[in-house]
Amino acid sequence: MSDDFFAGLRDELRAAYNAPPETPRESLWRGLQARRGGARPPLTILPAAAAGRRRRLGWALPIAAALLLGISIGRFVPFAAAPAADTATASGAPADPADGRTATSFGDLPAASRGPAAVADASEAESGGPAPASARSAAEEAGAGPGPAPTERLVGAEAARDGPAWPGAEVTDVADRFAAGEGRALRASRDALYRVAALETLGSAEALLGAVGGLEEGYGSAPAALAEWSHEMLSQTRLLLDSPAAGDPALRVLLQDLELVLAQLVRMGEGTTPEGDMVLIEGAVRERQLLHRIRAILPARPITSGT
Amino acid sequence: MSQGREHARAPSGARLEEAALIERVLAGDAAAERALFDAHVDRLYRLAFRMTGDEDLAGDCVQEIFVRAFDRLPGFRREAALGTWLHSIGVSVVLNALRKRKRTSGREVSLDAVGARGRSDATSAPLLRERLKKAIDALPEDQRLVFVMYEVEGYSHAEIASALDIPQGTSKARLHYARRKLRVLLADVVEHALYG
Repeated sequence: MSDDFFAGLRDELRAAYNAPPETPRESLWRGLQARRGGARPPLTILPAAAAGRRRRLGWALPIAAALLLGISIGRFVPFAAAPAADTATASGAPADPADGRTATSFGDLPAASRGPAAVADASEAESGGPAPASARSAAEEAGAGPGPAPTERLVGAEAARDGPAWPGAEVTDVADRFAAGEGRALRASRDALYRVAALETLGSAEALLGAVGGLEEGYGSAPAALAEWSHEMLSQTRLLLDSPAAGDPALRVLLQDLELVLAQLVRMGEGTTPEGDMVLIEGAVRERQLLHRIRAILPARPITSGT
Repeated sequence: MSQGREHARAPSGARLEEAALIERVLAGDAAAERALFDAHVDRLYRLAFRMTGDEDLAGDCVQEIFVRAFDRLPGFRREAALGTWLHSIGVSVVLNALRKRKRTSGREVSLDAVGARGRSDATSAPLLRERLKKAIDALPEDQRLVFVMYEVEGYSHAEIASALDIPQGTSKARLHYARRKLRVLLADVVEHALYG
């Protein structure tokens, strides 16, 4: 038999066998972007963004480093050079010992809140007694004199704990500790920033899920608007989940549940989800108690009287 | 043979443009990503829809194809045309989706059932189309895929072979078996419809 059999049938075949509609390019593209945004590991995005920032801020980094070094030296040297009574005056800061500057420089935040003397006391307590004379000599060499300057006592306590490995090791010790303290401070600020970002995202999610509930009841935003909103939220949620600061397991589970619902909402906006799935989305929100869990994390808002 | 098979091989100029486009995509150019998507989405969607017959499933397949393609583009060796490579991903994605659907629905049409139905009155066009559709659906999946790609969508055997990672001879053999089965199943209905 020849191909004529099928050649004669070709038009019928094309019409009969799953004739495709016009390609829904835009919705496919939006869906693709959403899927790639959700699936793509942030490391493929962030380095590019970071590289861009590095390029833009390349000139500023050496200046910032120099400033940081200058400020740190400026903060340290007056304490080392001046007696305790004159420290505040020499550095141009208030004489309140509880101002926390010394402690912040060394990253010992709990002791910092009690002031430099408390820091020194804590160091002595860690080392099991007052600083030995060998440790004091470093401060004396630096011109601080034998007086009980807080910095000198700190250096001494640290030296007593680790022991000086070579002449001048105390200075290196202080620099290391300073660096470690800065690291801790940076981590603390990173965690705080993460917390703020997470709360902001959860606040938006609460509003979005409220709007979803409104949609089911016949009011609220249009599905397309909700999907667009969900799309933005999905990116934020993904970034939060992939952040190195994401350490709270409860928050992580909540964000993962939220991510699933957001992905469903995005698909609904593309028209690839049947309308009946709106009920399923609502069901998922209820079943996972998303709103309750979000509200449990969000800080209480002030109640304003009147409307 | 058909209109589709005329564009089986991309000219070298197009390959150069394609190479430039790939470079731009790899450099993170979002506009190039969209251009690449636009250049291939229609054909992939048509094939996915022909094979699945389901708008949602076809859409899912196409998105999955491009998700995989963009992820794997850095490893694309450019020995074949981008379209061929995308189709090889596409065929794999579509077949996986069909298998998954078969597992969940478990619905298949047997060849006997197709042959037995509608023999009494095969003259109306809707009935002819229904018989055609059911007969093609009843083909084994590998034969159906080759038949749809060749006869319905106009792919060449070279394209089919690349997409399915099989020799061209295998593609021709599958087409031959598919045609033979369909001729038997559709002999009466086609005679009525085409020759009165």
